[in-house]
Amino acid sequence: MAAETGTPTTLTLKSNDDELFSVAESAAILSVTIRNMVEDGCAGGVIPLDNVDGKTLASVITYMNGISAIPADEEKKKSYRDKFLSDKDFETLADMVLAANYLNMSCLMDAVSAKIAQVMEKKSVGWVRRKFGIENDYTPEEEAAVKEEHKWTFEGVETDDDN
Amino acid sequence: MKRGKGEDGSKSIDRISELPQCILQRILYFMSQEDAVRTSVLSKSWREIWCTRPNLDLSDATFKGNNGEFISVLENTLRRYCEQRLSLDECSLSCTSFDSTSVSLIEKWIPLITSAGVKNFRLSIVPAHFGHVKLPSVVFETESLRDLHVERFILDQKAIEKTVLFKHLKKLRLEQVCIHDRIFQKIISSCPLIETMFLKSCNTIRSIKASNLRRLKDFYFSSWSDEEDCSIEIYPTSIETIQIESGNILLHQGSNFLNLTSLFLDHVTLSSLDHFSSCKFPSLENVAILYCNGLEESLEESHLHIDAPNISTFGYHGLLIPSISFATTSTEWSSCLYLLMRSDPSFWLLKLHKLLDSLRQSEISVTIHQFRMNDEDIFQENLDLVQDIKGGNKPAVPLEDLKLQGDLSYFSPLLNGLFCICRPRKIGAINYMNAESVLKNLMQGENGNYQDQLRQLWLPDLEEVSLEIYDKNRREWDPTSLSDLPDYEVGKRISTRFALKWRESFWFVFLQRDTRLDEII
Repeated sequence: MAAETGTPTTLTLKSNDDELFSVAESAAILSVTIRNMVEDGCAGGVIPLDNVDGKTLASVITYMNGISAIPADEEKKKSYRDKFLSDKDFETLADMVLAANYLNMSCLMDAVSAKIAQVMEKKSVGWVRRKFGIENDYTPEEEAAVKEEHKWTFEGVETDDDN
Repeated sequence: MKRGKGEDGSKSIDRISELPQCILQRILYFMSQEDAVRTSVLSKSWREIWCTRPNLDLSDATFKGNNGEFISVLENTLRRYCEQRLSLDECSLSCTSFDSTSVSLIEKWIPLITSAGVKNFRLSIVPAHFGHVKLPSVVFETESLRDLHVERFILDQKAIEKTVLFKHLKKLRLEQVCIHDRIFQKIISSCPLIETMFLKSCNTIRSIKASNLRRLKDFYFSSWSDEEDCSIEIYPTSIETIQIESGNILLHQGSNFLNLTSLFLDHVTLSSLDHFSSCKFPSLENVAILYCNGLEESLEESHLHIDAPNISTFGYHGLLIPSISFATTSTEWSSCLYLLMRSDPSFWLLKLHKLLDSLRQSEISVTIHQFRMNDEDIFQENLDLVQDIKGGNKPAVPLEDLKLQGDLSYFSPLLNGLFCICRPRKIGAINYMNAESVLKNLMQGENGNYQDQLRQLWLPDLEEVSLEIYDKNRREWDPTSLSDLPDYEVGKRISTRFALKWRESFWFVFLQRDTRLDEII
């Protein structure tokens, strides 16, 4: 466990492509995975994070530092999260949500999930398929049947023609 | 693990479908029921994900289909969760236009919802019509309820025969519910975690004893019945906002409303001003006191002193001029007074001066609305007092803004009196058609009568009058002149106002007085 006083403890995290990152323990323990390691005394040397690449880890650490610098003010934290995610493309968001899941960081996981949900909000099936590259493997008959089953959800949705 | 897009860009890799189920459930968790269900059409792997998400959110108000279809969608969805033994953490069900048969179905649904392990249940039931529908008693036995909204029901003894199990309830909203005190008291005494209580038009409630609800943050009560007022008692430490429209609030001597930020009292009886004055409001920012009873006694007995160091806005509407003061360290706050004048003008200007004087640390706006009365009367009544104010050590109070409405004209004798006790920086809003006559009357007196003598009490202090016009698009006031005003058009309304610049001597007196005060303190 970290000492209560004195210089802040720093942890070294290693991505799966062997990049090393230093991060204050107080920020890193936003990840329950890392916190458990610290509490179990396994954080002495380098902490390997086998499921996160360097680019994503750098981004997650930026988030950890940013959010932990904000005092307990949910509104300010939320606006930080919104700003942090505002310029991320879906590729990056997918990497982040996987990392957040692996690191067990519920606040980041929720923020990214909500962001992806927001992209799909009120959009037509065709738009979502194109946007995310989802291949339609239904036969036309199957698709019609599923649509019929949930037909109440198909009214007032943006048409398939938009980009 | 990371795969990019196809090199030629012709076909991108479907990363979203490859995300683990738990992440997809989380993404769907943040969607509306409609958006979540629609994902089932994306591809085969998406077909069933929507009904594994841990939340259900259905409202007939936003449902695209008739009530029969809504009920069948709801029942099918509940059946899926039950059959697959999926856990449902959150459930929000809103039925706002049900007939009595549909309402009774709730009796069947609630056990299904509860058996799915719901921890956070929000239920809103509003029958299409008032009066004949019974609220299923199972509602009161639902321990997982966090949020209950009930409208247009009669809640009698039968509905809560058994124990009320609301130990997780945080939000209770009752509208047009006919409920008697004893039953209401039984309900609220079984919800210790309640944070929000919203009671609208529940006119049979005569008494609310909420002083044992130690987590109550937001309290709203509104009831417009002819019967006696409901008496309301609230635990002071936790409460953050209070809004009462018609009622009687009981405050205990010396209560500390530690977290109260907003206090809105409309047609409320303030039964003891002494108790109110002895309370502390360290977080209070906004206070509105509108048409409240209890402020109308004689000058000495009815003073209200509000201990609110962080006050930001104070609003008062009423038929009489109250005696109210603030103990505050706030440096930027505003007071907004809306005064209705009725037939008895005695001491009107004196009382107003006293009120303005006690609010002078704030930016004050005053609107005076006069009902039919002879404003010569008021001036006669207050003539001596005005002389006293002007001649003695009672300097006029600067105002940000003065508006006169109703039967008052801008050149009435009242304005003479007002200018002796206060110095508005702005007078408005005046329809542009009247601007010229108002200006003329402001600057030139009628000849020879006593009004002219009174005008001499303030006119020398008035240095400059300039006209401003309101730009609706930019929502700003711009300087203009009489000759630049638009031509007359029938039905056209353009607001203008006057900006008044008062002579330094007046400010000097004012500043001198403050300096003296500082020295004394």
